[in-house]
Amino acid sequence: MRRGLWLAGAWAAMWLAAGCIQRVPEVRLAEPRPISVLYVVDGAREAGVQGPPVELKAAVEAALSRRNLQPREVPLQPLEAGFGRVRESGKRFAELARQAGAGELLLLVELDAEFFSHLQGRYRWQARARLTAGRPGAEPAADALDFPVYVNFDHEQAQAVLATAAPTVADRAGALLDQVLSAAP
Amino acid sequence: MGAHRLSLAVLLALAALPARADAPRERFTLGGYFRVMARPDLQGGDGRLGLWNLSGRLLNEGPYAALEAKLDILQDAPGRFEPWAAVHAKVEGGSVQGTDVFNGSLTQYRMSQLYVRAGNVLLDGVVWQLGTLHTYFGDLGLYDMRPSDLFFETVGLSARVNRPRFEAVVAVGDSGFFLRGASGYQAVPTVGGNVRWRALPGRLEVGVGGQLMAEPHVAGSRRAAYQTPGISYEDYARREVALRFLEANPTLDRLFPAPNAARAESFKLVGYLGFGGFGPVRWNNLFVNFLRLHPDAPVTEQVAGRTFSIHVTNFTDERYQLNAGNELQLRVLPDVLDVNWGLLFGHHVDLDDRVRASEANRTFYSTVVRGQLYLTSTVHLLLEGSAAREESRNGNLYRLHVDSVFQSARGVSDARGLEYGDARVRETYQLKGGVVFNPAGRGIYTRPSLRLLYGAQYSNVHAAFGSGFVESLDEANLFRGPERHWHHVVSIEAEGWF
Repeated sequence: MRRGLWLAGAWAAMWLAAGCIQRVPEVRLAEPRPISVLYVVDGAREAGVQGPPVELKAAVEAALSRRNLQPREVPLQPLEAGFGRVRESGKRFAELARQAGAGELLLLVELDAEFFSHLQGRYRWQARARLTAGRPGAEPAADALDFPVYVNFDHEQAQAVLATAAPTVADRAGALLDQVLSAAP
Repeated sequence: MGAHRLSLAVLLALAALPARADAPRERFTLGGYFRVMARPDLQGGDGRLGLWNLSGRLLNEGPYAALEAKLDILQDAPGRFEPWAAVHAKVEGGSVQGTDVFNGSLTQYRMSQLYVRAGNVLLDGVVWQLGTLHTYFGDLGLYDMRPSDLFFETVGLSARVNRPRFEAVVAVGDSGFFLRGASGYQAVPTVGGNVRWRALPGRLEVGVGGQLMAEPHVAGSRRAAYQTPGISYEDYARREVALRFLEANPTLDRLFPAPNAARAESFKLVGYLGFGGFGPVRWNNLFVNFLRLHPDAPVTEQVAGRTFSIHVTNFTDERYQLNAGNELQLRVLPDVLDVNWGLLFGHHVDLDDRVRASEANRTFYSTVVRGQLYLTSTVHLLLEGSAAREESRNGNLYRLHVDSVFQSARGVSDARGLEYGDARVRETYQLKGGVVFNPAGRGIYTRPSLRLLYGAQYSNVHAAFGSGFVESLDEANLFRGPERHWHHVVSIEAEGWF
């Protein structure tokens, strides 16, 4: 009986301790605010760039909407030639700032995926994302992810891989914007 | 026009800046797979519901782990088409401490793959692979089988070209250590390749391939392919070749016939049809293979204190297999219910063996259906059913009852019989279900998966599962047990790729 009470007490203490672990709160702006978003998918070995899969855009936009941000996608097509030759996030972010409206928040999402190998019947890819966000004129915040993505079929190439990776990328983009929004305006 | 002008402006602006690649990629990457479970078996079994994957992999496979490392030796800059190279090494095996009889022993693990991949060397767009060469079109996930695989046993060099509409692999190598390693190495040159045609990318693709393994005869090498002349298959099957020779030729054991040179060749042809991306059909994979197994190495018999080598190339060179498997993946109710349906067929023939019941002469059929119902994005219900039938083509091969005969001839107990048991057909039915927790979301093959499962099996055969039962019919057997046609297993297990 006494042992049972001890166990119950220990369980309750662990439960309370877990409840005390602080999660970084998701920021939600009181007023909607526009944000310019530019997506760039780089070839793993090719020089060209292309747009992201719709699933990834939808996931990122959902993460932005939860924060009361109104995403406006900056079209990649006019930038493709230049971006295909230069892969420097800082310069791409500067170009995004030039394309964005005055005072808009900025989010640059750069992605690529490279095949790793067949592993126990699945196709393992290595996906990478570089996220840059900030306010115009201020030092941007950045985050980078490098993580495995498994797909079932050979025909699921880079776009399908990035679609599978969408929730992860969207979560990290949201967290990065929380950081930006929490900073002094 | 405006877009072109803008594009040109951006190009000029960026070109004026020092162009450099983005942050360098990590040179070292590690991937892997694990499957670990606790399956207390209260019926004396070894924790697996059935005997093998014919009833589906779920609850019929044991623990497994694999680690694959990739190290970029030479990284290329995107778009430069410079030479690049990476080395892959994979270690895998089927034991984890506390989950099986080997208790995680590293003797159960092997380095199954080691190869270097290099591109833009000599030919642009060609990826060279040097080392192990295993390749396949795809996977039957429900069965954990790859009927379209090639070069599993081969080390050598391959060249791969991958274009949006097709992929082709050509390979040459040697399979000698895998096929002949146990009895002493003998080179088995291997050549082959495969082609995948993406007729409608993402909708329809077709593939064919094959490999040929031919073992040249090396005069004077005791490891080469030979056939001992003047012996019967039945004596070989009973392991009585030397005994019969000495009975017929007492005191002449030194005149045991010298082996004759023989040809040892084998091959495998594979085919693949994949289609999907319409209606509820996510994808369908159909794989077929037709193969001839490579002849066996010599066997030894010990009689009267002397060891005789019996060379059996001609007794083992007509073993053919036709295997086909299909898996249909259906999205029945999006985000609510997915169903996968698998079919498997095998027809194995040993044209040399007309006297003995064995798995080399059998036909099997199986179907497996798995449904996964998504209660939430992470909590799912799983239900899987399977039916399988195996038919021996050379007489009885299965025991129906706890007191069935072991050796038999035409179903009658016979100590000299070359059949086993009292039935030529084994039928197995399984039903498995439980709760699945998938932190990464919906999908039958989404991993990691944490599963709490219950499985039941019924078979017409007694104890159709691995067990510690004493099967002896000796009246002094102290461990005589009841007849068992049902088997039940509960399992807590985790599976994932990383």
